[in-house]
Amino acid sequence: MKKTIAVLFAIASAVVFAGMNDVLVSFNSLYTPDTDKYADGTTVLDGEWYALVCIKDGKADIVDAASLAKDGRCPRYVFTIDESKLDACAGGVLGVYLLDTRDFSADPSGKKRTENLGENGYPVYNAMAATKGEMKRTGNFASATAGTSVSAGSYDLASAGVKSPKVTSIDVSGDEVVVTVSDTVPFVGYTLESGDGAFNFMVLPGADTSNGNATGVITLKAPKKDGAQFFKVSSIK
Amino acid sequence: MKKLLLIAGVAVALAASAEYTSQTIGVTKITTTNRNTIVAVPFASLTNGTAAISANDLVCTNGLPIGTTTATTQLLVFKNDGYLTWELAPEGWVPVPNGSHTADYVSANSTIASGGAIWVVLPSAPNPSQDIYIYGDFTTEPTQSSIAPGVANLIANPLQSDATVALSGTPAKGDVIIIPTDGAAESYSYGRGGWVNNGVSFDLASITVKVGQGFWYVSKSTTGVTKVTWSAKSN
Repeated sequence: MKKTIAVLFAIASAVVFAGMNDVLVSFNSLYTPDTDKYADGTTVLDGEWYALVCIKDGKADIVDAASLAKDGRCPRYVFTIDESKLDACAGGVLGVYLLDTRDFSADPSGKKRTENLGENGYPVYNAMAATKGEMKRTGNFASATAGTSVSAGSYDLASAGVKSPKVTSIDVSGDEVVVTVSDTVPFVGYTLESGDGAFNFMVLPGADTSNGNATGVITLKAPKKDGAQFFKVSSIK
Repeated sequence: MKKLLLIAGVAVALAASAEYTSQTIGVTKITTTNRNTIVAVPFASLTNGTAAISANDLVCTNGLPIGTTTATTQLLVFKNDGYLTWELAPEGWVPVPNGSHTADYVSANSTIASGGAIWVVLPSAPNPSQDIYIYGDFTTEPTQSSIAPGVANLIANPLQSDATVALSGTPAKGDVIIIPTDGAAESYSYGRGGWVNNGVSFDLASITVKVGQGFWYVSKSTTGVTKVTWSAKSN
């Protein structure tokens, strides 16, 4: 007999299976301390998707997903999942992920989510980020407390095929050093880290930042200084 | 009884969040009051951080004087006992053919390994001064300059600090170090008694080479010195 299993979660939750067919999860807190962000540092759009994901053998498969985000967070929601889907995750782990489903071809500013659904019926996404929290178990019940919000640095860019940015040219123009960068993507934010030495970099206050570009190429600037300056381009955290 | 793996927290098995970074790049400003300035090459090519950088990619054109052929900024790359020349034009650095080499040859052979040096020749000695900017890949800081045996070598301090030098290999009788300084030159020659300057014995380890400062190592032997190692000078 097909059984459905209810999973109740909010942000920063994980799923605990208390027994053969039962999943009982309650939550101490429903809201994360702050809003969730995309990899470019912007607040997630209303209606953004959160997904229950099975991680097994290094692969991520969406078990279920819903368009939930409101005011930058995920509200209380109950997933109802067919038991067979959970059986398929035997030996793996389940987690709750935030999906970036923005469609930059439709809107380069990233204000529009995709209407393109994949073969599994869930939206095509640019990247995903795991929400974080702690689970405690008492008998057949598990409780989760809200953990940290999803930050720009939380995204799994490697599995999204994002490359490391590459500086292709440098110029000194007026009072600025201008750095041209390739291999960027529009859904990730980039910044210029500076250092007086080659190994002590930091993002200085007011450092230039930019979203990536569909063409892959962006420019970042920094004030020029006397002596030697060192830079590297990094994805924002 | 079916069981699934218990999960605690969701720092899950996909690649952990990571910072994506580019190669390290360096930009150095050199201020000169000389018409002819040796410029150290501490950087590698931006397109390939392990490859030597070409002179026209090393030196920024911003702010450098542009004029006619005889009155424009030039880059001189010392190769095989001769110079390959680039001139600054409105469109950027342009390779200059000479009697021996075509422009294409100059363009293809103007790379300098980290630890080497080039000349920047201004139309005239600047007054008050001229800033020269160089840039490139600095993922690996060079600490040595190669010495081609039996020929003159133009090298410069690639460190971001004043440096002392040490030689790999035994100097040959007749080896000469020439350090240009503001139009003059200090010369040190190697003989039976070691290094000599103006007839006076000299300890090479006592030389301080300033940031970006260059000198000639004229090698008289095919089996002598092979490298100069630079060490940051302690205060």
